[in-house]
Amino acid sequence: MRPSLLFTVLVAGLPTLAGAAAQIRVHSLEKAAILHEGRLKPMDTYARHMLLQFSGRSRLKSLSALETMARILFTPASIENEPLFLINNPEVADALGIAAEKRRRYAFAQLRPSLAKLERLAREAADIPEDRQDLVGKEILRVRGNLIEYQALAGTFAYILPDSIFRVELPENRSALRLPAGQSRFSFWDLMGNASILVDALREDREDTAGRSPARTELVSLARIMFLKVQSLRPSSFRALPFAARPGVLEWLSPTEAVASARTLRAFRPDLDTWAQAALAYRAGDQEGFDKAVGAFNDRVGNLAYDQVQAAHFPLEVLYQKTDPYYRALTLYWLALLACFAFFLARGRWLYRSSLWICLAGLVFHLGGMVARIVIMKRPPVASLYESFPFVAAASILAALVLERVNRGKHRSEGIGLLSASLMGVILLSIANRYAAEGDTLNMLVAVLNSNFWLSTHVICVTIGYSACLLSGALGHIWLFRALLPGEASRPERLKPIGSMVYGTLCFGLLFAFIGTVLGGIWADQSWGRFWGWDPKENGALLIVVWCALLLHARQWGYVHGPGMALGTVFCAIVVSLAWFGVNLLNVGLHSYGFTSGGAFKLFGYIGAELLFMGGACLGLKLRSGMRAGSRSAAPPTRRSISVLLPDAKNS
Amino acid sequence: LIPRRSWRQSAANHPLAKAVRHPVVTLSALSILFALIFSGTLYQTEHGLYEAQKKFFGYGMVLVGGVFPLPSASVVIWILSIQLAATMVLVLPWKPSKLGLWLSHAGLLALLIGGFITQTRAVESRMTLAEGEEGHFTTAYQDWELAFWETRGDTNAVFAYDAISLPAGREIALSRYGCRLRLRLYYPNCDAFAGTAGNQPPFLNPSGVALIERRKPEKEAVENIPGILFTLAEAGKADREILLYGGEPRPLPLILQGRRVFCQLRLKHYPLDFSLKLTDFVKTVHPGTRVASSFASHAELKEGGSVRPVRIWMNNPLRYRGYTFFQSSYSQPEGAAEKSTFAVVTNPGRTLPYVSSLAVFAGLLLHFLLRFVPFLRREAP
Repeated sequence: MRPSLLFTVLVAGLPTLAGAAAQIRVHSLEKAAILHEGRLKPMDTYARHMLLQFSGRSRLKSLSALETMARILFTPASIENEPLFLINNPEVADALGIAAEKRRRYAFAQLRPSLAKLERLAREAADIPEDRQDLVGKEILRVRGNLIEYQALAGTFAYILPDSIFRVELPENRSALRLPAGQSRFSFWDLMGNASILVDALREDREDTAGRSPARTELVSLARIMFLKVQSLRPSSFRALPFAARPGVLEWLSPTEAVASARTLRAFRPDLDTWAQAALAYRAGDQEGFDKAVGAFNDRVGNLAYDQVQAAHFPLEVLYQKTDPYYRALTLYWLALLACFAFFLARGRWLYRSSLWICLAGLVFHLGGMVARIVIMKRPPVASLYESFPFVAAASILAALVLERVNRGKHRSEGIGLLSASLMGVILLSIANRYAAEGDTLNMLVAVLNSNFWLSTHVICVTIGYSACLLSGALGHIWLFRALLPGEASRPERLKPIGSMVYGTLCFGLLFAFIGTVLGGIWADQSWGRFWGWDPKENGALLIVVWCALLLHARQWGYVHGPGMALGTVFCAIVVSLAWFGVNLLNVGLHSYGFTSGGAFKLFGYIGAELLFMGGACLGLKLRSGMRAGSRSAAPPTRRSISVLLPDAKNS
Repeated sequence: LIPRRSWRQSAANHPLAKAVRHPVVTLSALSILFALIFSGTLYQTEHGLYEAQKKFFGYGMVLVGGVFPLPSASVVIWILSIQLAATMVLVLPWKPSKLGLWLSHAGLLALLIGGFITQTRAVESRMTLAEGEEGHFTTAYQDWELAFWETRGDTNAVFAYDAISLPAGREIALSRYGCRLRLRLYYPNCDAFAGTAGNQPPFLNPSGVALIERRKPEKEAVENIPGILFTLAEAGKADREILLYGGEPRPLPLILQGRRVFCQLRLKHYPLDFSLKLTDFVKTVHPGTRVASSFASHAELKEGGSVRPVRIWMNNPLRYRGYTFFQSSYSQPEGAAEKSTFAVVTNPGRTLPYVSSLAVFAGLLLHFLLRFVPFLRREAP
């Protein structure tokens, strides 16, 4: 095999895809079915996932994810100069010899000259065991993976375009291959239609190399180029072609996989034709032709009688992706939080009402998003770390709003529940938002988690336990802030209702954390054959239970009161954070499906900040009581002032 | 069953009872438990679960952080259990408003008792079968035995010694074969080396192992492979030095009093009264991925003359005659039949967690409701 021939085939691929940026609407494409990561998704979800994976964003300038994907697939040249690829680490850009961009996003045209260098660096990085790779190495591998995927996607429909490497000059060959007479450049697709003639030519050539005619020489050369082209085709994740592999079993292939062999080519000819028409119509700016071709494909998939082809949820999923309910809820919680702060400062009723209604509006989006996910995935709301954040947020917000309802109209505690609700919404949905930026969050489950019964009992109970403990922690913070505010210490009655809320939510947390832990034990007994194994995840849950029990018993026997409970619940929030995702960082035990490697720094930062806050609060309370004690020496204390000075003396 | 008030009062005022149920004891025990769980969890990352369990969660003392001596978790849990029982019997008032507390504390006590039964009586083992293979016994995960057996028709007559009960120097009489066995060394984890060509090893061994070298226990105890060296003394014959390594697939054949006997250092076997034959193993993946969505083993349960088809899959074990078979893992050796591994457990206390968790849940719920309703009434504007 001549290297120059191979080089021609490999390098000639991308330039042939040149095409003008089409100005057509791709609405009809959004519900096309794609099999991606084990799940049949609408094209809209797939496009969002890929764009997030490439650029960490859900839009590319003015282009939506779907429009971007359409350009990558049908007219890749039109997107080559757009900043599509996120490179987080500037050292990677340096290593590739490209100027670091402020926004850390690079166009394919910028990266193309450095592809060989990137490949070399990636191979070096891949030789290092995963647990010893540094951030730069990991980033190099990530960027390399994205570029490979991009190139595969950009080459998806290359087979339909005429290419100079597929040149048939001799009329007798054009006639033999049933190609139109008026052109000499053809597409891979044109030639694959009569690949058997090329295969025969190649076979005959092996048997008889002497006395080769010019026509035979051209056919043999063409056959070799075709062979090399098939070898160089890169299967992409764009699995849009359903294939009945076995009775009752449907497999999905990408167009490049389908055109790679005569067997699949025959099976997929109608689908490939449909996609080819769509691609050509897109390139030509033919809106009607594009919609018609995509519509025909959607109808064909919709008519397949396979269990796997369940696309009834597609409209809801597209709506969910477009609405992005959690993001909207997050925005509304921010507004509610600001209005709540304003209410505490100005005490205007309208501010209180605004905050409440905005918070409720956020909750509607929030719960709507959760219900949509339940319907789409046909499983309970919490099945992954990402899903636990919105759920914990929703449960704690609901509980906080119940507390607000209980305290409605009471001047001393009005707004506390509302403040906690919006605060929990903002914090937890912001974290969820960060996780969502990593890609599609509607993931399939590993075998051991594939149990709707246990997901809806154990996981729900444990996460409700987390919610209540975190809410009690948030209330603990509020208690301490209020106790440290100037002038507040002289009004202990203002702290008492918050203390009651702290106690109530902690009891609630203990109840659900305990039941969730025990149900987890029963699931482990059903699944692994032992109720308890001191696994880190189990221990994390037990830590919450033990801490809550310790705190409640200490309060019951009078060892801690208001400040102790508030500090204890702040610490409880730390324990929850460790049990929730801290133990996942250890990468030990049977809960391997939850292991993660990122976020340790942020977690330790949070814990450090909380410990500092607790230390500061202790010091503040101590200083305050000291100052009061000093002033007490001047004037004999009354019974009331002692209770004010030492909040511990009163059971709040 | 509730003791009379006067008796309870006098018992409750006894100094010992007071000391046992003193709040400081409870709070200290809970604090220590918290510290142990936290430290034990971190310890696992470096030393594995087995070592952490032995050190932090078993019986005895542990130096937390290498500095603070604390009782280990099982001791603390016992202290809490005794205290819980004492509080219930002596102090907890018997009135409807305390029903929730009674239920939850009784449930908690049952849970702790269940944990104790599991810790002392439960047996965990496994069974790996290739498709078409039939299993009559299960094997331990990490406990080893020195086994001798002879074949009689279709069955093996086996007698075995727990490896853990074989300290160096111990002598065992094999009266059935008229010989004695004297232990010279036992390594819980070791490497084995073959003898060099032409250099006849001084020990009897089925696979040519001539030397074993002790090594540090592995992070996971299941990865330890032991080795043993013993002398077999048979009347009227010269003593035989036998070296066995746990990683050897074949047993050592011996002739003892004219009978052919096999000897092997192997993972402990637990014979079953029935057998299980794996007919098919099915792994289903999420389409287009390698991520498994389910594993299922189709098997035949055989006992006497009866054969029953059974299916064991994730989260759906087979329970039969006190044994529970869980779908644990699988393997597909190249060019060979698929193999399915079951975790097999017998646990007389397995129902206690179910009953106790129900009692604790009902108790806590009742207690909080009994407290919450008056709270709502009191707080109503």
